[in-house]
Amino acid sequence: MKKKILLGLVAGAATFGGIIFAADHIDAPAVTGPGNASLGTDITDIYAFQSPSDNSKLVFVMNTQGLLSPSATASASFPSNVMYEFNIDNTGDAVEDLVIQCLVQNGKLRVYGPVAPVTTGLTSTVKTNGPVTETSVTAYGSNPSIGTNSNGIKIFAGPRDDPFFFDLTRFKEIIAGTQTSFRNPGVDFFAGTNVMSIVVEVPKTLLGSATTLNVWGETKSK
Amino acid sequence: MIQLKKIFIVPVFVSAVVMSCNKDNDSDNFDTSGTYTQNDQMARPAINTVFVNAARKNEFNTTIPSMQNAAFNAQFQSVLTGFGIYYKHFENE
Repeated sequence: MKKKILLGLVAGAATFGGIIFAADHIDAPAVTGPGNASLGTDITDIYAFQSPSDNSKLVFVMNTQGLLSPSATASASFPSNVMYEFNIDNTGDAVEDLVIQCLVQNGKLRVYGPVAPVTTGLTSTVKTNGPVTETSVTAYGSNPSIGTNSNGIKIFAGPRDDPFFFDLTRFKEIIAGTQTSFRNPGVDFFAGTNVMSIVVEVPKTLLGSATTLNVWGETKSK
Repeated sequence: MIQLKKIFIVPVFVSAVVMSCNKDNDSDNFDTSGTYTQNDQMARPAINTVFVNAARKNEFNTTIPSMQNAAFNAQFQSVLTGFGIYYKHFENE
């Protein structure tokens, strides 16, 4: 049943003139890609989950710049004018109470927060008086450079295999009327493509006392 | 938005965290000046891709979560209503 509903959702995207890359790849004209390294603001996916190895921590992941080929990945980078911001609402009003602000400059990732933002909403300035964690950006094919902070925060930035998967080719054929259903097994159109990923692991103690958090990711630029 | 359930909280650790902050780090060649303006946003997957008409996809990315209900409720409903025929289609296969 769940599968059928998903199929319906995807089909609906084409009907209503939507761009058909799912998740959040290339979701809007202003952030279009693929692999738009000059802008680098297109979020492909965001994840928030409890660390599988430490239940006292949450992990936040923001992937950007989807559909990077292996050759394009080697030269891909995080633009220095972009802020990657995790927003956390711990009061249930859909307004961010804490932010984790990530900047990449001169081959280094610096993560500010979690900390209460200067202002909420569509514009941000860097809040520098919270936790600050730093590491080098990991180059394509290199061992991950993990930055740590004495408060338990761990960070990473660099290319990763895109975990999103979808049989886009067959989907297009179904929409065009030349096929009637997905194949089993399907063929992952996103196999072998990479994203530029930022990962932040944070002790739950730094995220307030609420039992439920609302999380979303934003890219902002200057 | 993505909702997370936290398991437990240990407030005692907060004081240690505050002491570990290092404000001096910002002096060494990291430019933290200026105002950053929003380009893209995402929480649950495929929301903008599926539920928002092409003409409003940029608008969705710059509508803060607390305003999305008012701005996009009718839009989402119309798309969902449109799913009916496709749901039926796949159901019958």
